[in-house]
Amino acid sequence: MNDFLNLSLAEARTRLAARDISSTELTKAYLDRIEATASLNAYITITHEQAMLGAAQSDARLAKGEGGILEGIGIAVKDLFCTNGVQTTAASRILDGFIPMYESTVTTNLWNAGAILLGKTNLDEFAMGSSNTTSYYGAVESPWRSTDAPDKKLVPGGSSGGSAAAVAARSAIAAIGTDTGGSIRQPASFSGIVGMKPTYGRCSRWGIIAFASSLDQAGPMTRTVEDASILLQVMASYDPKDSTSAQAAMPNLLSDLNKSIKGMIIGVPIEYQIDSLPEETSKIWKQGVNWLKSEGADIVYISMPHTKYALATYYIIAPAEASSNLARYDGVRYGLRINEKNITDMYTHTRTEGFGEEVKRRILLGTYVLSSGYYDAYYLKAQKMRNLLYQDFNQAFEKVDTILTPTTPSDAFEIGDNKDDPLKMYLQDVFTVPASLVGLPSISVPVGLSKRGLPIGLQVIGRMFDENSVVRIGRTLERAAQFKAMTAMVEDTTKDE
Amino acid sequence: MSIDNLTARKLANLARIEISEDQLKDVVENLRTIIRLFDQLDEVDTLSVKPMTDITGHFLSQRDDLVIDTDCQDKIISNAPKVDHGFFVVPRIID
Amino acid sequence: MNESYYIKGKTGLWEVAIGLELHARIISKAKLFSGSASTFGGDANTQVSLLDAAMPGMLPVINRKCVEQALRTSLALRAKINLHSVFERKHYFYADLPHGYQITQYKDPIANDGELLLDLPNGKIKSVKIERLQLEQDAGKLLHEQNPYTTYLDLNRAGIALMEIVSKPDLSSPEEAKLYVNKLRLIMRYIGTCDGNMQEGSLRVDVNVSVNKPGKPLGTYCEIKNINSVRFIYQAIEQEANRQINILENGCQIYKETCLFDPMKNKIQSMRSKEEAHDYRYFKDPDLPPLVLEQLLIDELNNELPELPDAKKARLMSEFNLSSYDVNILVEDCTVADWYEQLAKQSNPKIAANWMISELFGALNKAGKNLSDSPISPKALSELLNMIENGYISGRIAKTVFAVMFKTGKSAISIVKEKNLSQTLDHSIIENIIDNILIAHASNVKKYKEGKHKLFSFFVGEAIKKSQGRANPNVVNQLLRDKLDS
Repeated sequence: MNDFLNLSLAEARTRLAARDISSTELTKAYLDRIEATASLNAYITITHEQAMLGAAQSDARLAKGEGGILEGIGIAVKDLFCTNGVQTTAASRILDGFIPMYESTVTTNLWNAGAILLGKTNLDEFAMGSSNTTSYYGAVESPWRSTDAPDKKLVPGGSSGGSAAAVAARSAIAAIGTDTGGSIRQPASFSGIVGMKPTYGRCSRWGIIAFASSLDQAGPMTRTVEDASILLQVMASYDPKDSTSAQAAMPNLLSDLNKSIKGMIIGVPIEYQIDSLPEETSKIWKQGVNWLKSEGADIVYISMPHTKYALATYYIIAPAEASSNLARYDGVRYGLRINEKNITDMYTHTRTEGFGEEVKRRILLGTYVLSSGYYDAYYLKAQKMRNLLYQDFNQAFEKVDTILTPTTPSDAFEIGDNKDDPLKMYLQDVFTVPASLVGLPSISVPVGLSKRGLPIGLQVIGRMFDENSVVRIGRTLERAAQFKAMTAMVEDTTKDE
Repeated sequence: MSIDNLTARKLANLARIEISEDQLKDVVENLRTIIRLFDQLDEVDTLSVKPMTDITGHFLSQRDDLVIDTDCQDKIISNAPKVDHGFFVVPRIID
Repeated sequence: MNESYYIKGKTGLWEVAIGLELHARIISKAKLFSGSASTFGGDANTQVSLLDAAMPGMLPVINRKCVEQALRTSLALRAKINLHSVFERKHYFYADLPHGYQITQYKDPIANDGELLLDLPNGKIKSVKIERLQLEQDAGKLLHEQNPYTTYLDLNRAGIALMEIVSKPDLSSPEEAKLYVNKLRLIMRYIGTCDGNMQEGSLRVDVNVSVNKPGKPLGTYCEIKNINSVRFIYQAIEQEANRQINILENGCQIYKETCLFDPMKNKIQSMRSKEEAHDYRYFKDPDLPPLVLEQLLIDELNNELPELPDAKKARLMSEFNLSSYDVNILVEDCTVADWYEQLAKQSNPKIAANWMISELFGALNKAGKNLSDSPISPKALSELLNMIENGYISGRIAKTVFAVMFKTGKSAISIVKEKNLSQTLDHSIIENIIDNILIAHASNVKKYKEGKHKLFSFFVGEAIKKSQGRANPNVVNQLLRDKLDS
């Protein structure tokens, strides 16, 4: 059984196609694993019956030698993607029980390729958070424990914390998440898995519950870079239903994946060496630089002077858009309604009860930066800063092919930490927001462990629409790092056998 | 620029969110902390910088004038808290 | 007609400045950003897409037709088209607004700086400047009659494309406001961008009114929202101007506010002060990249524009030598003008105009029908008019024939034949009638020959009478002269 759980997506594909294993066995193994790891609270909804039915159908297709790229493979889906007939909540009380009658474009692409929905994973409410502690359905626990305080529960990162925890705990072979300011990459880094945010516009946003429309992007969360490439290839498509969808065709990500990176130029931005950066992060970053150098890449130290303003810029733009996108949750047409005699009270009480503290904080912030008298000082200013950040990257990419940075300043923290200090929580995103603001593709690859035995990831940022270079550098780091560390939880099940 | 209790109340009202009296202090304090981060941007002279509203550089693509969304009343009202004869029902609104 | 409009207050004369914001529902099959039908009516929530109901994760995609309709309207108003325009979100909570914001245009609308020419009653032409034309979404509909404790919401209207057309405060009387609305509606009907039906809400008007002493700068304006008939616009402006004058003459100040006009009470009711109550928090809609247009498309649309009312009026006047009065009636509706032109091409244009305006419109009015339902086609009417022109029937008979045509839809010729109404062209019959008359009135013939030439008309009258009106008077004249004067 554990044989199934330790397969990569690529391996599972091969063995399914060879009829060496069946989708029914594979799916069953993961559904059992979901049950066994239920304490992590990684899933909000488990689609047991639907998954087993899908597996049987996949097996029938595979028996005929048919089937798509992901035929018979169960995928965990962040509960921000609307799934037809399956509860979709954004981890918010305001959408508790909401059953969409439509399917997001990205998940439709997965199902068309033969994939099976395992369940809907937990997240920070409306994808707002870096710890997955703001969910109405409770915090997600990381399968990782630190060596210095093994009894303390850690966060998996956020907002795609359920997806990250599921992949790390082997309760999904692969998962999909969304990334607005780091919501795929940061939890991937914390959880010791690969997480990738493609170029803005690669994956259709149609059917994904919006947080910040100019930043939101779907992406894969997997155990290997190859798996991420396979999954992203299927997820991405031009979608006429999304006016911001990119028409440019996605190149074949697998064709160059294992090619030598000799001669490629890697930029190392000095501004990411912030004062508060722990030495171990700094060391792992340097290690990454050396690996790439030894694989034949040229290293260039670059300056991106506006980097330090990215966080403030992000926390103006994202809440502004969120305050607008979340105005629709009013208890009139769907979702929670707190009944009142007059409509204004109904709105206010529905929204006050329906949203959690962090979501409300961001709605207030967004309302503030857009309100008359403050728009120019904050929102307009942030848009100008966004342009300066864009120019920073543009200038950098005149000299380099990709940029290498840490994904997060430090390793995972305990559940409950940073709870009362939103700013400290926001600082988690300091390395991931710049690429988000400019829409660039980036990947987080696990490369080592901290002193406390927790995973640390490195981030590779590429040019617009150059996912190919991103996965190639990511794959090189993966190969060099040979990251094999497993959570105690995963090791335990290995021992059981 | 900072935020006071009155501004916080005004924002809450605009956003249709209630802040209780005992929460107000914390809410305002948290907002202030974050807004202090924003004020960091004052260091940068952006007078001659154009605001970036689109990172894609795309233009709006246009759909044909076709009626393709028909017969979706079921989909529209299936999640509604209160419905009558196909209408959404809300507390009485006095104009 | 008064040259200028003044209101007399306690402290002297006041001028009124009026600006109009028209919300015109665009004619298109589907809505502005979704694929649900934009037709009026239908069962509750049956013409609603997932986007219109603001379901989570739904995204807008703009309808090309709606953009083109806005461009046509802008071109007809000689506005400057912005090749780069932007959609923004305007935020406020209301049950008829599913997203909690309206997608509209704010800083960069699709067109600016248009112009509308008004034909004033004194014969002068007044140019009214149009500040902007923008595309935006309509809201849903709230119904309060179903239940005393609840309000019902129907989203069929939500998301239908509107054009908001904003004038400068160039209008200076209720009469001009009326002319402006009528003219704009006429233009939109000509180019097929809005049906202008105010009862159904296809055209809704917000009026900005301010007052000032002559020679002084414009005062603070108040906005009267959602007026749904031209008559009410007139009343609302008068009421509002008087209300403001009253306030100012009592030493108080006008505060910018939004009002509603209650036509039942003929009274202005103040809503909450606009500036205080709302903070719309406009920002560019991140779901919609900018609308970028090619000049080529604009040129094409411009070339395809039909003849507009002003041009048509000028042409009809010169081509058919019609009076300004007649032409104004004919161009009031482009189907009328088209109808007339078809008729005029096949018959005497002047007679055609008279017949159409007096006889046809009269009959249609009486029957409560529109021109499009007319039982008589331009060709059928032209046949009747040509029968008069050719002396086949008299004008008097023609009216009888027309009535039958209108009732039965039969052709003029068949009616004339059926009822044997044609003017007798056959000389021998007329000669026979005349011979009989001359015999019967031999004494008068004698008197005539003796020089009492006035009797000529007596013989004509008798002949027409005897022929029951079917003798062509010209022929009768000719034959009588031949017989009496030879």
